Amino acid sequence: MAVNTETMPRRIEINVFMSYNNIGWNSIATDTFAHRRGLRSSTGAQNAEFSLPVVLSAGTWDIEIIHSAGPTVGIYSVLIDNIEIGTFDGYRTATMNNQSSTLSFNRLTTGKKVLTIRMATRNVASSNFLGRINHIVLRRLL
Amino acid sequence: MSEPIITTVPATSGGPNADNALPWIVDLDVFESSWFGVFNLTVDATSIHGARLVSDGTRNVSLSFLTVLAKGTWTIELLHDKGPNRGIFTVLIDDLPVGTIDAFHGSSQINQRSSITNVSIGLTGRKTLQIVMATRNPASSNYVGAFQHIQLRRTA
Repeated sequence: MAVNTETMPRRIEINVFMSYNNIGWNSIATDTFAHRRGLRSSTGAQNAEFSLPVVLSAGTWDIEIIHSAGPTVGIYSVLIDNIEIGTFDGYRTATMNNQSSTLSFNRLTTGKKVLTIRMATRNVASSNFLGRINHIVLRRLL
Repeated sequence: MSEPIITTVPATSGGPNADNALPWIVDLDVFESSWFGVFNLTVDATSIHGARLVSDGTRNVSLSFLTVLAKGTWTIELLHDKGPNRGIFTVLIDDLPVGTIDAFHGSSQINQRSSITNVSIGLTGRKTLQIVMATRNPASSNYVGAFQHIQLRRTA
């Protein structure tokens, strides 16, 4: 049965504190300085990741990630069905909570996809591959 | 904010139909007025989300949510606390029990995640998810339930 994709959600909020499939990235803790008072933190190991299913309609989407940057944080790789759509650097010389980073991508078909956040690399100045995330939102633009 | 990039994701999944166009993740905000009985919405700096919805300990108080679920296999996960006076969560879909979660612990434990897995949904459609504080561990002193979040995830 065909679906009118114009009736599908154009905004998907991801609660990052739940138990998604992961490799070394399932720890949650209260953080009073963080948006939503919590952080999902990886172990700091290279290639730590977590994945979750999202249903996207065809179109152009933004993915915005709220995260905590700092001197031990790595580079976030964002993948859909294991294809990298972009990266952003979580390294800062000092801890900076509630940072926002946004990537855009095109979806050609409507259906279920797997969103993965992976700590594959790091800035040369960073001392680790740590990942620390507060929230994720996907927004369809077109 | 970093500069956005545009990437094209190849079409690797099946086309749209009624079931695969429905969400695989359903988040339920427990801080909305979805409860029956006496609950208190308590601000708590030690809790993720900064608050907990805590029942008064009366037996059989409940939360109830209307949602649409696709047919398939689902996991129901609760973010909650544990403690010496916490009861057992009985989870029902359309009045049928699908599992229980014991929130008793000898000491207070915040930000706990507990799941009921392999919940089978036979037909796509509107469902009522209910959580009832019906029973308690024999070691617990009460039926209190303290909720922070509920999530349903389809796994197959």
